[in-house]
Amino acid sequence: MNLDIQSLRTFSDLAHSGAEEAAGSLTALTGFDARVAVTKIEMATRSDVEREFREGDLVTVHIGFSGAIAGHTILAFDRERAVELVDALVPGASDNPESDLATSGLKELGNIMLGGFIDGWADFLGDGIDITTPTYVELDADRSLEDVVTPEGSSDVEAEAAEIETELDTGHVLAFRNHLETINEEAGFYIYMLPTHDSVDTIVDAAGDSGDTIPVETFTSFSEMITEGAGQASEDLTAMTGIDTTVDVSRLSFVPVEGVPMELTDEARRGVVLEFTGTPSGYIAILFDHDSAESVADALMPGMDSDPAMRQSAIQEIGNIVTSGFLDGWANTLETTIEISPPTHVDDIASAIVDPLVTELARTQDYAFLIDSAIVTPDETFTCDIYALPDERELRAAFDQLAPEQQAN
Amino acid sequence: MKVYTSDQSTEQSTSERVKVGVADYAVTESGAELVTSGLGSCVGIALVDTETGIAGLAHAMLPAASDGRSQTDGGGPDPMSNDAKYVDTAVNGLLREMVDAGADRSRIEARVAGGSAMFEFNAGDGAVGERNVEATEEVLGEHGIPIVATDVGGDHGRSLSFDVSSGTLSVRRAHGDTRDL
Repeated sequence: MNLDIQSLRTFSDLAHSGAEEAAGSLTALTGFDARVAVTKIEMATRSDVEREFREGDLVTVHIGFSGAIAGHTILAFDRERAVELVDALVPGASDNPESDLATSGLKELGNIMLGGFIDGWADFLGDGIDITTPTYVELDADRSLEDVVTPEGSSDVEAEAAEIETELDTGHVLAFRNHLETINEEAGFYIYMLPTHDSVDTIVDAAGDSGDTIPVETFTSFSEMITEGAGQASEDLTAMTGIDTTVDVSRLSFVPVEGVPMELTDEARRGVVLEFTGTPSGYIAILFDHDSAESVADALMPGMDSDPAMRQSAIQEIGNIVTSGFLDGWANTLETTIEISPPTHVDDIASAIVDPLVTELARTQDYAFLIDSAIVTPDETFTCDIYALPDERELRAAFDQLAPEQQAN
Repeated sequence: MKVYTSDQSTEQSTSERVKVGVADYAVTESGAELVTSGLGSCVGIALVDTETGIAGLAHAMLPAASDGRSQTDGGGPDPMSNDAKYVDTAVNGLLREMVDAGADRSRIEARVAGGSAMFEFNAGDGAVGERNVEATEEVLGEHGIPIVATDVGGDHGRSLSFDVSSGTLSVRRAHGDTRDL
């Protein structure tokens, strides 16, 4: 399976317009004035997606699809939002949110929204796509996606959907993640689409240009390299602060440039911004919320009566260490050199910190590869968010170096 | 790429608050509050027809469509590109929608915020924020629209809230410092 930038753009556009259809259905059915905030394509493992549902405490409706392309779509919403929706759909049913009446309302909503989402793909491919009946799912620690989408007494379509599962289990999947929001609310709805590898091929064949293709294995290798980089950064951070840390999130996604700042909030963040040059070059932001920044500075200067300037330089030093840990592995794997600029200290609105980095990239590209990682401490002493934005063309050059033998195919 | 709110940028609803994304604009004729977050080098352009109350807010990333990727690709304008990403096309689009909604150009006034220089990058050609502000002044000048207040430049981010009924553009910095324009 090969991917190319044109296919990724087509994917992104299809997913975005599909999500707009779904948002329109949501508005028509419930009166919630919804719009699509961000459409992302992520290289993720199934467990990444499952964890996101669990951690976000999301209520979900699943629908399998097969035909021209096969896979799964999932409509997910915050639990609170689900209750509001049930009230809008089936007045009074939210008094008992676990009831069949309540869940059937959500299933019907999922049926219409996800059906609308899928229609655009069928139109694009000029071929039919069948969908299964919706399944209502609350993922908890004991259940996985597989448990809930493997049906009992299933129809043909459902049986096919069960087979799809096996394929999705094999490792990384392309996940299309659409964040919907209502006019007044930050939190909202998510539509995920997890197509099978074969289906991705089908769409690439229909959309792609022949040049510049990248084997999907290269994306997964790169994704693994990012995970390793985050792991190294976590180890270095632990060594420096004496506080145990783990990598909570490590993701590679493909997103319209203007979608990147919208991934961050309006709240203040402290940290550093650095520029890196080499293959690839790009920008990196290491950000802490206020309490995390204080905790990290304290850990570096235990028992010291430090002034703000000292604390700022401690944060800068942490930024240096995390960035080196994060990027050194890339340079080794890619057998290249990546130079890192001195860190610039920032204490500003989170989305505004990332805005100038994205704007630089926007001069030459409409879409960005966004790498986002989070390093956390088990005792919640601090969270360190890492956002890396490599130059698209240079990243492709890096991909070439990562898998030259596959490029020849 | 589609404009995120192109299909609903004229807000007919009675929503009190309309969020404008990055590379996005929205028009309201219902007195709603228009908000946008996270302006770094980006520029926010708030326009209001003082008589009808028809107003709009744009959040643009780059000075001109010709600065976009089409230039470096050596091709023509990218058909998938988003008009609201560039100051010139965003202002033109915003004005067109406001006039369509019943605004009179001769009564429209502008408030401008953003365009800061938070970092100095080696790879960049620098001062995107400053050029965004210059482009805004230029394109508004071409349309004969007066800029009545600005809060531009500096090295910090801004979030905006445009109270259309009073015509006040509130500019908030990190940690809550707010300035009304």
